[in-house]
Amino acid sequence: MKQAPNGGRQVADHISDTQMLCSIAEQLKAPLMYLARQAELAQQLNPVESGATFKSMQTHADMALRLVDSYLLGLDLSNRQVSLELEPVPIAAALYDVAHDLTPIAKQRNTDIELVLAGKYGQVMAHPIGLRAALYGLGFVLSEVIHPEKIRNTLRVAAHRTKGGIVTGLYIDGPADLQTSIAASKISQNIGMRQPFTNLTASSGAGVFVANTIFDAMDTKLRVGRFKNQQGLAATLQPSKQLQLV
Amino acid sequence: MHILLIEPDTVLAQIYIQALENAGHSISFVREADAAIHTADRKKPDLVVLEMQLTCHSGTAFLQEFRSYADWQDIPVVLHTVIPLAKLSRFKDALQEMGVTHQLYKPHTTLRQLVSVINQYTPVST
Repeated sequence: MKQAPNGGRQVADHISDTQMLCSIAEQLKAPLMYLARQAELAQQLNPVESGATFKSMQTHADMALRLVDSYLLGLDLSNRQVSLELEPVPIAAALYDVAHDLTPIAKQRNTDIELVLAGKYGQVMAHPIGLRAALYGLGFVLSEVIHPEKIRNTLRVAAHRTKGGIVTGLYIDGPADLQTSIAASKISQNIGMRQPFTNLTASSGAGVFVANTIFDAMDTKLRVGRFKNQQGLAATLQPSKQLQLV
Repeated sequence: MHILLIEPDTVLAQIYIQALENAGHSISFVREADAAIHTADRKKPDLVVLEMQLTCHSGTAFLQEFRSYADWQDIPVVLHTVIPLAKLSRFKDALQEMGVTHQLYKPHTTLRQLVSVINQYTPVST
């Protein structure tokens, strides 16, 4: 009986914290939009001088806007304000969109993006916006932990079939510490710490946290996966049983 | 083409105006729905670019008023809004009925994409 008021206060505190974080994230969008669009306009007005600098500014501000939206979705889900209804999603198109979204940031980091569809797939059961946000967040995480010594890196956005379903994820070469990244996120989630491991940036942990939360809401699990001698982060999605016209 | 830009954020508006003028369009810019109706009456725009989240009256209130005039039935309206498209999808049919031809989520829409959408339209013949 005595625990109820404390428990109630904890819930209230959690909701209040989440609302504050959501408000902060929403407010960040405006200055990020100024930065992104001004940088884009500057490139158009003066494409020769400082073009690369403004391009970089635009890329990172646009990336930040996408991450803010992903984090907002993750916060909503972690607070149970939003439930994700699954629907048939064409997986090839979804992965193409993610690869397209990640291309500017990959270019900035000397990374090539490869879309690998090991087979012919139709639709999977997913939440289209959630899936895109989760995979984009993972792409950002991997682009941060990618092998730093290599001159040229490859980030693969891939799907392949297993007995359990369609494994969908992103993969890189090299010894990136992905298990630690996921563990860091889970610890952060459970004990409320932001990022307990110093070898990872705070943003990596947040990206994994968001993807983890979104996949949880889609009744699947984020895990470390391997695909063609590469290591990555992936989740298994179920094929849609809906008939398709070919 | 003459565009009526309804945008509550003046910093963003100045950027959009410059980008659209560079693309060869002329712009009338207002921040609120009431002013938008008056400006539409005076300037006869070929296209409207509308943010749904406005102060005082909302974008929806503007659309209802705007479409109530016979002369403005065929003027295309492009939503360029901070409201996520997933939230707007609930009102897809209603927005179509009110003549919204494109919906763009502002935080993820580049100037190039905005101009490209607008360039798909040709001026309304008078």
